Amino acid sequence: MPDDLGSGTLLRWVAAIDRADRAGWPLVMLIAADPADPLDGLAMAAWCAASTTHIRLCASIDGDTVEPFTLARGLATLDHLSGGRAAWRLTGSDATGRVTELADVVSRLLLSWGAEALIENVAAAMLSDAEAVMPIAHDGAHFSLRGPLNIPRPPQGVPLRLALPGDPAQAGAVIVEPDGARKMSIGLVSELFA
Amino acid sequence: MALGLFVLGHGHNVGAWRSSPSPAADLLGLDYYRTLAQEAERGGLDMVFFAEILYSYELAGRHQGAMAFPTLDPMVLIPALSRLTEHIGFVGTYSTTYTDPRATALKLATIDRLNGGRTGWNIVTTGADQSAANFSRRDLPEREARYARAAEFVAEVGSLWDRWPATPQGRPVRVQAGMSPFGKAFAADVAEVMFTVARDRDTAIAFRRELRDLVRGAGRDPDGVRVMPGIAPILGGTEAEAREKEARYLELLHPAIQLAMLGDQFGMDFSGYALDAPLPMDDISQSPRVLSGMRDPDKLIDASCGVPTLGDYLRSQARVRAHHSFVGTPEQLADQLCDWHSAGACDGFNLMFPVQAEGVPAFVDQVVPILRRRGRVRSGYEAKSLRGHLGLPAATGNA
Ligand SMILES: Cc1cc2nc3c(=O)[nH]c(=O)nc-3n(C[C@H](O)[C@H](O)[C@H](O)COP(=O)(O)O)c2cc1C
Repeated sequence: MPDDLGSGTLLRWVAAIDRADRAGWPLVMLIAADPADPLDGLAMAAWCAASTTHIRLCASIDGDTVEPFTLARGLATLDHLSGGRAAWRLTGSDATGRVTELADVVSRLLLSWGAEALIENVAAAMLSDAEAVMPIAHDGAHFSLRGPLNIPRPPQGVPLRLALPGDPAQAGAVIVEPDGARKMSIGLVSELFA
Repeated sequence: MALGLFVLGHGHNVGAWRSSPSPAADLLGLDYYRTLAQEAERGGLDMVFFAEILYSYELAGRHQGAMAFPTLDPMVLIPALSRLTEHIGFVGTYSTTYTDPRATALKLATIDRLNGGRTGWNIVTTGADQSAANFSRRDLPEREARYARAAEFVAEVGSLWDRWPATPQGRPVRVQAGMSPFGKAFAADVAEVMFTVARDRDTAIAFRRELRDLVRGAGRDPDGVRVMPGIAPILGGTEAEAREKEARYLELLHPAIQLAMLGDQFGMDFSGYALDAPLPMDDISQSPRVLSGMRDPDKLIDASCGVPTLGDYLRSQARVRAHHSFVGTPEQLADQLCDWHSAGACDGFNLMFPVQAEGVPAFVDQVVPILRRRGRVRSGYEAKSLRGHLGLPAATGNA
């Protein structure tokens, strides 16, 4: 693929992530370092999920703009397709508490299908158990939404959530120390495996 | 002719999941979709298309267990499937009413860079009012306001793309699927592919002519737009075999599923009504979707026969599909596709198999070879991008 179409750098990163997976790296955090060249973390993670087997794929998400239902759908899809390897990190200002509320609402949407909801009863034509899928009926300062999600509970339930120091909505997230964070940034992975 | 595969759950028969030995694992894992996409690529199709549904089938807070749960996020599924294919294009639906232009621009640009220009965007305004409740909105905005927002949204997305590094296609292929007057006007301005619903050849010819006039009126070249009606083929070695298969597919539509579908259409729970009693027209006329003007209860009744029983109505609905359906042999289907195409009824088709796991390989093995012999479908991919497969001009202009 020609570099002048913007795909070259991206595909070099992807190749580095494939190598990191084979080398047994536990996790890669996808951070677009250059604001002039932004990336969608979930799309990158999904592309990598199809070629890797063990590495966890952490997408950075702009918590100031995304809608909870949209983010929950994206994370649930990635976690299902990757066999439970999705991870997420929220960025943004959180000046008004939006990101904190977002993290909470997304988590509740991801759990809105009970773990045993899929009954697959072909004879009675019941794919899922009506009693095991519940609306979340959230009514908060930033969001009010009914739910439930339209995707069954992902393998991890709520996928692993990471936060770097300085990130919003640290409560409930696994805090990653600066050193570890830098090691997991995509730039460093590609340097290490170039 | 342009050909797309519209993948929706196990198929466009809402009971199709009952034909799979592992319905949930299919719908949630990569393997089932990978097989369909790779089969479509083996058949030389232009693209695989995924819809977006933004609500769970639920009535008054009660989940509808009979309905297959709807779609995964197309903008996550598509990059994964792109990795597992080499040539075929992918069109994903993303709403202009409920998503953010920057997030959407970013997703599409990233995917188009990853898959080397095989991406398209089905631009929808999301007509389902149930979605509003999942996006902190009390009501679905009116259609006119939704399409006005869609036009702004597309322009915002385009200006972001102008600021970021170039993507392989310049612009992902723009697809549109709304046939209301507002939908058509929007399509005339922005669409490069239009998915339509066509009941028969003559209405399809009239629609395509009208749309091409609108496109010309908007200052664009009508040859830069592909009109693709949906078609739901059921194939058999003989006509009798195809009819048997149709009957088998109807059996998949268990009454519980049909009641859930009707409930979803009207926002009303029908499970407490007797199947052998007439349709409860008084209650239906008070249902949320009738009160909001989205459904017309008179359409339930055929004036010449009076009010049917709920059971008879469900049986008749199971047969009728809004999209053009086809039951017959591979030769007959190939003849019909070529006939519509030659007559100017369309530029290609959006294939909506009732049961995809059966319909897709049957189409690729039995219909594609005929279409290839007739020079209507490619034997190998010559172009690299979706734009190239569809023979669309290089991207220019407003989005
Ligand atoms: C083949 C096809 C696919 C569609 N896919 C979607 C979809 O994924 N999501 C959605 O909200 N609407 C979808 N629609 C609905 C259209 O975008 C449109 O809203 C609908 O046809 C009504 O037309 P109108 O918006 O002009 O009133 C689809 C329609 C067709 C014909």
